[in-house]
Amino acid sequence: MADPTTNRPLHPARPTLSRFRRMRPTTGKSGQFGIAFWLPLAWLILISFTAIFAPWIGIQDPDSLDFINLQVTPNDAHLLGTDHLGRDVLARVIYGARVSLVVGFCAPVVGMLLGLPIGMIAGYFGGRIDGFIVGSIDTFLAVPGLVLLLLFSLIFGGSLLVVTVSLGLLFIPIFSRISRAATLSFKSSEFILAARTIGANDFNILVRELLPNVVLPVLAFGLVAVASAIVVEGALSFLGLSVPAPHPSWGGMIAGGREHLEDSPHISVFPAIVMFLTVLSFNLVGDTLRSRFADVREAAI
Amino acid sequence: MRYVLKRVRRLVVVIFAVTLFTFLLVNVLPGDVAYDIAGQDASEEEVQAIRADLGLDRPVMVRYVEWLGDFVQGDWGRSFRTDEPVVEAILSRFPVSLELMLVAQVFALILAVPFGILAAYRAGRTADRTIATAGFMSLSIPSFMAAILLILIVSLNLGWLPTSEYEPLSEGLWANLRAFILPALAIAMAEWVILMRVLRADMIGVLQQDYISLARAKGLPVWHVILRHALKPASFSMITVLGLQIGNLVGGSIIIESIFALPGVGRLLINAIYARDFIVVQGVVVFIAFAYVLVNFIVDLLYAVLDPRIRTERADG
Repeated sequence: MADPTTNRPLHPARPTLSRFRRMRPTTGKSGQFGIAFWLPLAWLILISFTAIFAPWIGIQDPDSLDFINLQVTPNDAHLLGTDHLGRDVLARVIYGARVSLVVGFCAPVVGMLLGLPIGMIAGYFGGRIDGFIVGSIDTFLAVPGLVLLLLFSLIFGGSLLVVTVSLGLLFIPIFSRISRAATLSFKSSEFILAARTIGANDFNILVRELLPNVVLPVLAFGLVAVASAIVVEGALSFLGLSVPAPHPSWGGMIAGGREHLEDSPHISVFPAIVMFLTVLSFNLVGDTLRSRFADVREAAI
Repeated sequence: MRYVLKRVRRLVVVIFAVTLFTFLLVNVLPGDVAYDIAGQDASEEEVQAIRADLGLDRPVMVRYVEWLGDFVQGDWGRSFRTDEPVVEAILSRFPVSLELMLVAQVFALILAVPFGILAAYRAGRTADRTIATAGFMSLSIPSFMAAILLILIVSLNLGWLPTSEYEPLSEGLWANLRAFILPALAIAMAEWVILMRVLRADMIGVLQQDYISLARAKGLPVWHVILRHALKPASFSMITVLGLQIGNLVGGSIIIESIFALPGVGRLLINAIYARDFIVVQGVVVFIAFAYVLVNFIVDLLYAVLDPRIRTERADG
């Protein structure tokens, strides 16, 4: 182990209590969350707040064209400058956050709602049912996620709903694997046996006994899933296959500024920075929560 | 041998399921391709004529079985737009995707191995935490964003690698390779972190082994012990992950290929999607899935060859 205490000489005479106290920080589950948790959390709150209240906090209309100020660098009137059509970059970044956050939160929820029961059923009943479900998931995984999304957007057209649902489907495998692993680890516990002894049926055991235990590791993975949902939505809108064009989205803005990288890089760079910070924050906060609340890590799945 | 047969059976089942799924998805469409080809002003009769011409007026399952038959024999149909045979279109573009993927993996390894070793050797210390943080940040940069930033910084500001057109290998190795450097870096940005983490985790375990302590006790220098004694057993899982990532990247470099105008399979797919050229889309998706499953299959087999324990453990699971 990477535990510096293991190399230290043992002190058998030391009272148990103080030894525990000394060991606690090295387990990585120390009492407080550090700055790597609070700072990203603050950023996420700021982003969510401005995105939700965008129409009422006095920023400009993201679609209004300012033909006098085309591609201007950041100034007092346009804090982050304007793009090639004279649209305010700050306003578009904030309105773009709405798309990213809606997809980012809703897609994992869709995946969770479908993946959790599938995984629990596979883990609980085992045998043929388990084999069938695991096999289907393996097949599903054989088509790379982005390819599947492209297929869906080709067939159903690009819209917020299509992107959210099809991205949500991609989260089924990971959520069902996590909940299957968690179900397996709780299945043979005494409290399940106890419930069965007093006559609970399968449905009751699944919902009343297993679900509360399974839901925690699944939720703990949720925020990390939000980060990857935002990335994938960004990729789709970068390709122009997410929300339709004039509607602001981060990926779309980065793609739009591609033609003007040489003379006005700020059109691409500002949305890129905001997106990077947001994804990083979700990863950091999510990872902290996951290592705190979920013993079922990916390694165990 | 039983293990191999079991894997082959599974490979066939997966491929079959993928073809069926893709075919149904592409073919049970609201407003099919006949409307697209006929154009907006076409009358219903013209649309029906095109549909009959393409054989689209027959039941889906009949068409699927027919398509599968042709597919197995290597006839994947022709593009509705360019009339190019799909198989040729894919095979002529595949080397570009393959090269991009290999260069990207080399970059990822160049970053992952030294940092993974350092992080494991100094586990829990400042160096380890710095690398972990850098990894986190690197992983939070989507590849398309990395691509844009690389173009901005390396090509435009520093002027080192002007964004160049793709040149075939016949134009010389450097002319060919230079077009791949930035796109491969953009992909490697996220790849190396995954490899580094796996290597670090295994390396930490290996460094605890008795034979490492023995080597150190003999007085061998630290770097010699790490490179000669620890790296090989520790890189086992990393190589597996590397293999799996290759499968992933066959379809994962779609965006990068289109940003850097590399004529690979990914760009073929995206252009076919923009053009609503369904038969090409269908062929490419099946191809990508096939490549992915095949690579997984090979990695699994190699794994079993290298590690005898797998053969018995997985055969019944």
